[in-house]
Amino acid sequence: MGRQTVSRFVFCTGQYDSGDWDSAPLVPANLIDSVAQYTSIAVAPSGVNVALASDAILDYPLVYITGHLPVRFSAAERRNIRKLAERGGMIFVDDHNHDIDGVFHKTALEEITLALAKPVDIPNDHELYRAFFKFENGPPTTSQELNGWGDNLVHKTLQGVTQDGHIALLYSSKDYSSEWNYHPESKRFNAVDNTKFGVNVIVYALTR
Amino acid sequence: MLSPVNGRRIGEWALRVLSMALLAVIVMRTWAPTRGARRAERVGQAAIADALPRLSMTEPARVHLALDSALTPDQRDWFAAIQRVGTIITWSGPHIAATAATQTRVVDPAGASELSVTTTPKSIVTVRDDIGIIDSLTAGSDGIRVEIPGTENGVGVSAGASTAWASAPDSVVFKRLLVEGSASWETKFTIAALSERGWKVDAITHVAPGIDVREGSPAAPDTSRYAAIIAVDSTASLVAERATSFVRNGGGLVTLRDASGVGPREAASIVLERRADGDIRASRFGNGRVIRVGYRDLWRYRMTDSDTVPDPVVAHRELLARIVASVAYAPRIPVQAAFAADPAPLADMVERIGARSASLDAQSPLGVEVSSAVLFGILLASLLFELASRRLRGAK
Repeated sequence: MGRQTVSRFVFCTGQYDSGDWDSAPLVPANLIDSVAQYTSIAVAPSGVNVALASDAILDYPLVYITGHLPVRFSAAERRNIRKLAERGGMIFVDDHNHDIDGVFHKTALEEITLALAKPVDIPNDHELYRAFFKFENGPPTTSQELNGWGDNLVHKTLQGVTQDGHIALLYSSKDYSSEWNYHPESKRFNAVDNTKFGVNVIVYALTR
Repeated sequence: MLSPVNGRRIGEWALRVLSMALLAVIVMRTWAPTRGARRAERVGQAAIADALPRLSMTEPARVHLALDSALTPDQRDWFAAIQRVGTIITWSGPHIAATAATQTRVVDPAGASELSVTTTPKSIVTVRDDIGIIDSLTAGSDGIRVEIPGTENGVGVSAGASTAWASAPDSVVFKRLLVEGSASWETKFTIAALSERGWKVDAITHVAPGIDVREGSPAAPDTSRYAAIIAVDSTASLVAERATSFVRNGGGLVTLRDASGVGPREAASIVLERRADGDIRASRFGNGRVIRVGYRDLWRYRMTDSDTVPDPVVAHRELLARIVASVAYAPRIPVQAAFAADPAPLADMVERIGARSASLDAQSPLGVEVSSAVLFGILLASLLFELASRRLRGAK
């Protein structure tokens, strides 16, 4: 894949060798639509999928990672995650299982700990929740949580690894990947746009 | 009328008087040396420290210094004083290169200084501070200009037998920076790099109409608050509104690629750097300066690995810091150096005690030994003529 050299924000999904990195293929388009709708950020109309092990991943300082299956990062994948974090980028990891004892959760946390550090709870008054839209109670709940799917829990907080005062890696057990994995045109049927928190994640990554 | 015999007698008396006078002068010079009666001295480099007190007391007619390196400032002062009381000071030193060094504070919170050195082309130059050697460099045809870590004291620059000490750089007053642009990687990493470098940054990041992310306390550009303003892209409306007057009053303006229309229309600019994707241009406007960066996506410097760049984050920081330093307004405050600077030892030596002599042998022979010999010769000749005159006219 050739490198994009445009100055616009390009939503990037990270491909890792193990597991199912492409389990939520409609999330990028949905979030791009929301960013274009709510902000004046110059955003590329389509996202890219870039191998985490590739040096090209460093062209995308915000990388979205999701999946259901066990995760084992290669040395190159781990190294690039570390580089992204050290250089001011951000990795957003979402557990598509919404399953606290699930394989993705366990293995992803192990890998994150190996690559960076053990994620810790992010307080619900963190500026992430005010980066664009205001979320007074912290991360918005997902329908998967409310319906009692997966671990039958409503996770109170997100977790993260901070670097020089900003979130370098954001980890979610709330299954936003399921919540946002629908065609953008279907958004008009929702009473409340549930992708607004995705806009916060992108604005936070671009401005902090 | 004077007869020939009487005239001869008068001449003989004159020769006697001359002989006695010469004898008296020679005796006086021998027992009570005066200026004209002492030897000229040749002093080597190693003997200068010991010779100076003695030369001050004896006030010789001429001193020649055979030097391997430039005199120290104290020695220059001392010889200049000796010269002022009448001693002719000459010197030779074919290996003393004309070396001069100046140090200027770069407007960069990292504290770097720019060292400019003029010396013989292709000579090896060693730079050191009061702790130790900083670097070794080879001089080009136009000398050396290099950025060195900041120091509160001077730096020594040695080229061959010459060592120049550049004075401590002026202290500068750092004002804040104002960065404005839309929410993008360029804006984010420009703010990050300059903050990491040590600048206090006020920033406005435009996210949506009427919604900005503000860092610090952004205010209208004014040289009382800001050293430089940086327009990242064409959304930098606050910067654009005041950029022209800000620069006219002495402030610095940096425009990145997507903000090339922001600020004054300069009449002429010079290209500082050129690459395939653009160039960096500098110009003056009023009392201030403008840098227009034409490179695309400077933030990629920070993210992209390269074999030639060991730390891309540092490289990105340094690139932006260098750009900002070249335009930033920063009042300067002279500092009192902890030691006496000696920025151009050879030039100072020439000013104080005169130009270098071609060689010692080229000097016109002037000295006590030569003068005494001449005097003694004249004395002998005068006595001989006087004796011959008397004998030839039959007197005893």
